[in-house]
Amino acid sequence: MNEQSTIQRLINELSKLPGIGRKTAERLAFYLLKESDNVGRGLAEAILEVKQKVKFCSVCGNLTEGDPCGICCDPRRNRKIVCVVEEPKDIWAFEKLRTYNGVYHVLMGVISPLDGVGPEKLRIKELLKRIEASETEEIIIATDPNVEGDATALYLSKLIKPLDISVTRIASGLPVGGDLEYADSVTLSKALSGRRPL
Amino acid sequence: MFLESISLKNFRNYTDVNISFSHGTNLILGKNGAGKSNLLEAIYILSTSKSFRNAADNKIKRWGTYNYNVKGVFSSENGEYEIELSYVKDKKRLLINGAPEERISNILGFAYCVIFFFDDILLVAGPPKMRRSFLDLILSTIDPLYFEYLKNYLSAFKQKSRYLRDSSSIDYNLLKSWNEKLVDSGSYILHKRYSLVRFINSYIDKSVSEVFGFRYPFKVVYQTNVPRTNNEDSVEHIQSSFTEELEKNTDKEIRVSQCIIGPHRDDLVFTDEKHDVRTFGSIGEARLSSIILKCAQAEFYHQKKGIIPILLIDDILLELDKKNMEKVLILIYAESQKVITTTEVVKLPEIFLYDQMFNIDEKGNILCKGIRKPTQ
Repeated sequence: MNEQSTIQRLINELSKLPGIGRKTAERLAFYLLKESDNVGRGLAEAILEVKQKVKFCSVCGNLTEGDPCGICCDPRRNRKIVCVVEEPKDIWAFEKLRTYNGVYHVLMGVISPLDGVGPEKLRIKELLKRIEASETEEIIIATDPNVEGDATALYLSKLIKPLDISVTRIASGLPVGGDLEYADSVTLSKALSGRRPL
Repeated sequence: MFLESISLKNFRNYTDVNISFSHGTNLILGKNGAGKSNLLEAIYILSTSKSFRNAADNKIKRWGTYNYNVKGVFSSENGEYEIELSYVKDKKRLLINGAPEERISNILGFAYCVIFFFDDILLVAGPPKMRRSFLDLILSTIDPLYFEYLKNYLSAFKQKSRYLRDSSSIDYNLLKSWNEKLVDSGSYILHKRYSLVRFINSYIDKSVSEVFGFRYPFKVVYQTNVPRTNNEDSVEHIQSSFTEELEKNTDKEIRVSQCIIGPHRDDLVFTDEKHDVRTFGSIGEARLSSIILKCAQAEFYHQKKGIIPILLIDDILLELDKKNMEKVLILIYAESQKVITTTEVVKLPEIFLYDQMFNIDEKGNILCKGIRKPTQ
């Protein structure tokens, strides 16, 4: 393999990453070539290590190095409340809150027949088993507020409600600190219909 | 609402032109193929982001170039807007008052225009999709929420259709979830479409009958497979009727693997109480009916938004007989700004006056911009 194709291979691999196009991949590749060996080696090692060590939690589906994950093992967490999210990265968003004290369940996607994703491809069976095996009292469904996320939430509620467990959906509305005039009309109308007495 | 000026770069046959318009009637004169309609197309594209001739953007750019740019200055009681739409590297970009907009659909609701052109006859004689799009465009223009619900309905519809088509065994809970999403957005769509159709009929009953001097015999009927309720002002009533009908037809939908209930199948029919104009009317009647629909669109914008839209008329009135043409000229707003194309001035009726004339030669040069007002 000559230099040309080695560099080409790196550029190809980099451009497979989300949000990185051909141009950016080239820039990154030439940056790595120019910088000291440590930069490239550090990055390569970090990538290899993360793929070796990080696994999905067998209970909630979160990304973790130990199994079950830190959140599932934490005795201070309230196991009666389970927040259902689409992706592990959604857990990170919730964890930044520091106020949510329940546990999570990652679906690994949403129902979308156009993408060939049905309920059987998601971690729904695991959720139902988990509910049966533990003393769950409330399920909070936090899928994205779009057509697919809503339909998935509706579907889950139909499965879980007969088990006599309360099912809630996170509210959608205006971003805090945002300007009302910049909100899109659907957000504004949802915020209006979900208004609360003061 | 007025169009003050427009500038086109690499748009259709125009390399680079700037045109200022009169607030009254602007007449665009030119031979076939000179590029008269292209000017109307440019104005219309600033109103809806799309060509009324349904042309793709790469057909709109001037032959041999890679991008086009249209910029218009519109004025209304609320002030001036500068709308700029450009097509660069296969992508459209929208600037409103110099600020970039994230979504091209944000263009709706700024420049209110109504186009009258040859294909309008398809509103009466063409496929149902044309009529649904007509209603959807009007309602999306005045109501951004309608546009959002329409998008939501479409994605839920596509998902459910695929589910019905591809699944060997149907999970009723899942089907119900898609149905709930359809009802959620579809009921709002139905609610708004019902009220628009009611408006069109009252417009025909009052304004049209008044101008024509007799009770105009046609009305429009909204045909839907969602059973009508006696309280169509209430979205909740429509929701329960829609839900019930979906439930009733669940087995049938599974059997044929298709979404058969919902506003995506609806139609608008022009009838004279006994007959459907499509099958019994003459071409002239169909033409007149389609023009009346467009006049109703202009009146609807006026009633709902207090804005008199700009009327873009592409040679259309010439297919009517003289009497009907004069009636239509009375029906369309005297105080509205008009941009009208024609091949010859002599074809126009006597009552037709204009404030400014543009003469386009065969090469697309706009030669004469002088103001001419004919004596009555």
